[in-house]
This record gives sequence, C-alpha cells and structure tokens, in this order.
Amino acid sequence: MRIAYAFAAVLLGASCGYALTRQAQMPAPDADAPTSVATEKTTATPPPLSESARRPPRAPRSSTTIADNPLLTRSASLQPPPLPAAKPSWSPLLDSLRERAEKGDAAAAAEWLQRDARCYSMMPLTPEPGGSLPTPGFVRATMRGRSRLTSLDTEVAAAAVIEDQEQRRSQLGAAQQRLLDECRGYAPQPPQVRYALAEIAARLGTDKDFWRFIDDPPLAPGYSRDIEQAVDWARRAPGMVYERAAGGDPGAAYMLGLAYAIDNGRELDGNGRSRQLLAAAVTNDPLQAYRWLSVYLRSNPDDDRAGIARALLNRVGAELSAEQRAEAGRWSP
Amino acid sequence: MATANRRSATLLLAACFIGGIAGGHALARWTGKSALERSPGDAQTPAATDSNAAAAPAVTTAAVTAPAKPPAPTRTTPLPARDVPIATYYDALAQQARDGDAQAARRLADDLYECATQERQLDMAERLMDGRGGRRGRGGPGMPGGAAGGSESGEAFSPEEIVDLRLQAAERFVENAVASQKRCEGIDPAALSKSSEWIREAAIAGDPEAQLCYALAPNEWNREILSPQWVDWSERWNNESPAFVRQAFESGLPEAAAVLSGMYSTWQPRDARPWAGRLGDDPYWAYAYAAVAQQTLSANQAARWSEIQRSHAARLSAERIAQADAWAAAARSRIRFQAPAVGTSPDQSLCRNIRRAGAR
Repeated sequence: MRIAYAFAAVLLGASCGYALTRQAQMPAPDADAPTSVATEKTTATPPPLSESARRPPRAPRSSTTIADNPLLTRSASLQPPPLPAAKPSWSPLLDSLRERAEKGDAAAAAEWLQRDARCYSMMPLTPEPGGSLPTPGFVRATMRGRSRLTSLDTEVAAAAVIEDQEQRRSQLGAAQQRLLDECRGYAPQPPQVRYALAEIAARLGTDKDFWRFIDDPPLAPGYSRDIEQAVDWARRAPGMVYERAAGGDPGAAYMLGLAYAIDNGRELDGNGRSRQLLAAAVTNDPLQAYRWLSVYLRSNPDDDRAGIARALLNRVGAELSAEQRAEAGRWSP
Repeated sequence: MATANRRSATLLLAACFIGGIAGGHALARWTGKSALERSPGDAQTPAATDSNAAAAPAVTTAAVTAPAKPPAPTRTTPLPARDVPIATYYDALAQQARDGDAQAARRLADDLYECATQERQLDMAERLMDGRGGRRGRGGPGMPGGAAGGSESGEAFSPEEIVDLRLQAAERFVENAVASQKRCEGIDPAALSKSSEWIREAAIAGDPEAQLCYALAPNEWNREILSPQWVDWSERWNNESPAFVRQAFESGLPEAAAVLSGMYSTWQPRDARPWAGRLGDDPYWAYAYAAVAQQTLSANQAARWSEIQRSHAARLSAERIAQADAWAAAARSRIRFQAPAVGTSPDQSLCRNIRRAGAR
C-alpha cells in the first residue's frame, strides 16, 4: 500500500515538473526573432496616441453610404497610419511638436513637417566650414522654377525675387545662415513618422494641410522603401477626397473628376511635371468623371481649372451616350 | 510510535513527489531540446541555424514564409534565343512556366519587361540628344556628362568628342528600341503587365536570382504604381519578399547576404538602398550577414564590407561578435555560395543588374 502511495507521488511530481518546465520553455508571443520578418513591421505597436489623433476619418457628411462608392470602401476600414515609438531626435523642439501632434494638435504636426522638410532640403546645401554665403548651390536652389526651398520658407522666397543683385545676395546669405543654424545636427526621421504626422495634419488640420497630403504626400511612390506608405496613401487619399467632394467642396469635385478622367499628370501638361498621384490611384471611369466635373462646373468657377474641366468633359463625354451625358450633367452627390 | 511512522511515511511521500518533479523537469528539458533541434521549418532562418552558436533570439512560430512549389524537373531544352520574336514561343514558354519551370517564368518576365519598357530606350536617346543624359558630373557608360566628363586616363573630353559620344550612345538606345519593337511584335499589350506575375512565379519555383529580383525591385515589375491592382500586389509583396531574400541566401547568392545585412541595418537618410532597415535595426544580424557578404563577395567589395562589419561590431559585445562569427562560419560551411555577379549582363537581364546592385 505504502509503495502505491510512493509511486503515485512520484508520478504526480513528474507530471507537475514536466508541465511547469515545458510551459517555461514556450517562446514569448512577441519574441523578437528575425524569422517574423514580415510581421515585425506590420505588428509593431504604435506609441499611445490620444483619442483625437487615433480617431479614424470622419464619416461622409452627405447621405452617401460606404457601399455607394468603391473609393470609400477601400478607405473605410483604415486606421490612422502607425507611428514608430518616439525617441529623442536631433531637435527637442521637433520632439515636443511631435508629442503635441500625437495628441491631435494638427498645427503642431504641420509645423513639424514644415521644419523637417526645410532641413531635409538644406542637407545638400550645407557648405564647407568657412565658406562664404550664399553658396552657389543655395542660390541655384532658390532660382529654380519650382524650388522646394522657396515653397517651404517665406524669407527665402522673398529674397529670391529681389531685383537688386547685391541686395538679393545679401538677403539670401542671411537666409542661408539662419537655415544652417536652424538645421544644425539635423537627422531625418524615418519616413513612417513623416507620413503619419502628415496624415494627422490632413485629417485634423486646415484645407492647406489636407491638400498638401493629397497633392504632395511625404513619400516617393515609385521607391520601394516607401511602399507601405504608398499603399496606405493609395487606399486612403481617394476616399478622403471623395468625402470632401460629396460634402460640397467644389475643389474636391474637380480633383475627383480629374482623377476619374486621366491616368497621370503627363496628360495635363505634356511632360508629367504635375504628379497627379490621385489620378494614378483612381481607376478611370468616364461616367464618374463626367458627373464630378459637371458638379464642379456648376459651382461657377472662374479660374484656369474651369478650362481644363470643360476640355476633359468633352473628352470623356465622347465615351458616353447622349442619355448618360444628360444624366451625369444633372447628377448631384 | 504510530506518530513516528506517520511522519516517516509523509516524508517518504514528499521525497517521492520532489524526486518526481526533478525527473519531470529533466524529461521536459530533454524532449524540448530535441524538438527545437528537429524543427524543420526554421532551417532557413537565422534564429534556427543560430541555435548551434547559442546566440539565437527565441524562435517564433509566426514566421511569414514565401510560397513555394515542389521543384519542377530540371529543364532539358535550351531557352529560345534572345533575338527570336517573342510571339513565336510565348504560349509554349507560358505553359512551361505554369508547370513550374523557373527558367521559363524568369525568361517570360524578362521578355515582357523589355517590351513594356521599350519607350524608355527612346526616352534615353531623346535625353542624350537634348544634352540631358548622363550622370551628373561624370560620364556614365558611354554617356559623358558634359564638361566634367573625362576618360579613364583623366583626359578631358573636348566638346566635339562629347557630342560624338552622346550621339553614339543615343544611336545604341535607338537600335535597342528598334530591336525590342521587332521582338515584341504581336504581343498582346494586356500581357505586358503580367511580367510582375511571371517574376513571382520564377521566385516561387526557386530561381534564386528571380527571388532577389522580385524582392528588391517590385516597382520595376509592376509599374501601375498606386493603382488598385498595384496596391493588392504590393501588399502581397510586402508580406513575402523578405522570405524570398532568405531563400536566395540559402540557395547561395552572396548578394543576398549583403541585402540581408542592409535589411537589418538602421535606415540612413542618404542610403540609396530602399531595403535598408526593412527588418528593423539589429546590429547582431546586420553584422552576421555582413560577415558572410565580406567572405563571399568579390575582393574589391570585401574591403567595404569589412568596414560595414566594423561599424556594426562597434554596437556589439565581444561575446555577441564571437557568436555572430560562429553563425557566419556555420552558414558558410552549410551553404555552397555561388561566385558573385560581376560585369555587365550579356543578355541585358534586369535581374542580373539588380543582383549586382544588391551587393553595393
């Protein structure tokens, strides 16, 4: 009898010992093994965001439902893009702007982007120590027809158009010095940070922030490094513009009509200088193009866009029947 | 007396229980170790192979793997010559590719890529004629870059020579475009976009160059950037491409070691390699793969990879460096590495060029 009890105790102990040890050997679910290559990025936990920054895009303001349009269907389930965990960067000012942006301060997000872009543009324009300012490279950068630097800095833009050569050089030299001081020690942040902050600015900020995200998002669509952001943008941006257009914004109606009508910017200016990323992300559809361009033209626009809208209306109209054109011309979102 | 007996019985039971726990613990350790050593699915990952060097991070079962097909029988007939019109063999090659022939799939991808990008040849010719072609500051191959262009001996080109060289280069681009036009006659324009699927098929069928090529240059293969179909394709690419680079490494492409090192290196603002940092910032694996790259790439690249190795080593302890070196040595003895790709590709293969770019 005693032997039976002893045997039972040994068995019970062995079971407990085996179970406890195997449980301890189980890998942690978030083990950082390199084998989880593709999931590493996709499951990276974004830092805590405030409720306002986390809030998904607003529902359409019109009665349009998601099922009405594939553009909305594609963007409906998207959460705000993930932000890599904040680490102290080269600039405490930018760090505090990012912190505010993550809490939903769109102005802080926009300022972060502006400052980061300015310093990024200055990277190749940093002279050797002791070199005289403005450097030839800086002067050239401000003289180009579509200078990024002049669009990012009002003082540089103002200095670049001064007619008096001496005064222009002096002002540009001062502007370059100021930018060099501002950007000392600059280290660009990962593309994911730029993109996520641009999305916050677009969603919660001004019209200008919104259209900057649509027309000039902080990513290079053809560059495979930026694929995650490009995929997100291609899903998100058409829905954002659709929502605005459906809510009665004529500018958004124009952009949507354009996107439905053309494939890329080359169709507009012949040399593709206009990027028209939205057109690349939206499948051509002459009926939708006719509808939205008609909506835009009914808003009595008096700018250059009206001419383009009429020309495109004629072009896509040729692909429609008279009945379709009549219906689309009367259509309202 | 009875109390003493009861006490000794209790002690005996407790001793048996404790002994049982110790035995169970030993059994669990032994069986657990055996299971880890047997784990077949991890054979290609650094984590599993590194178990020999006792340096591996914990093995996870959540690995995303690239799709794979059972290997097709080795191709016995040669591929069609590169100057034959594609339409004459397209259907037959497509069938072979669908049956799992990696070489056929890779060739179709190359052919359709050539057809889809003929216009680029004409664009290049046009740019050269306008005086816009060539690399900034110095001449590219056959494309001197303006006043700063120079010969290898350091002699400057005269303006007339520059114009001449530009014209010659432009002529070559036009000739290539005309040749491509002939080869691509009769190919359905809708088929051109299929090059992205054929290169993926070749990667799945196990062609290591195609695996690297698909993983590193998605937008060369799928050019409808931002379109809805591109979005779907890119999401799939994003999930499976790192596993294809690992497969290329396991198949012995030394350039894949360089790519993996870059993928584990932190992203640098001026880094032209788009794959940099894709797998995060891990100096251990960046160092370990750099060690393999340093030993397997060509001699003129070895010095640069030594430097890269040193930069990663600066962030590791001596013990971790020794572990990574042991892992790299094990990888070298386990994998039979090919000679690195050098020189220009005889058949203008995009994959060969991308493979060479991977080593940079």
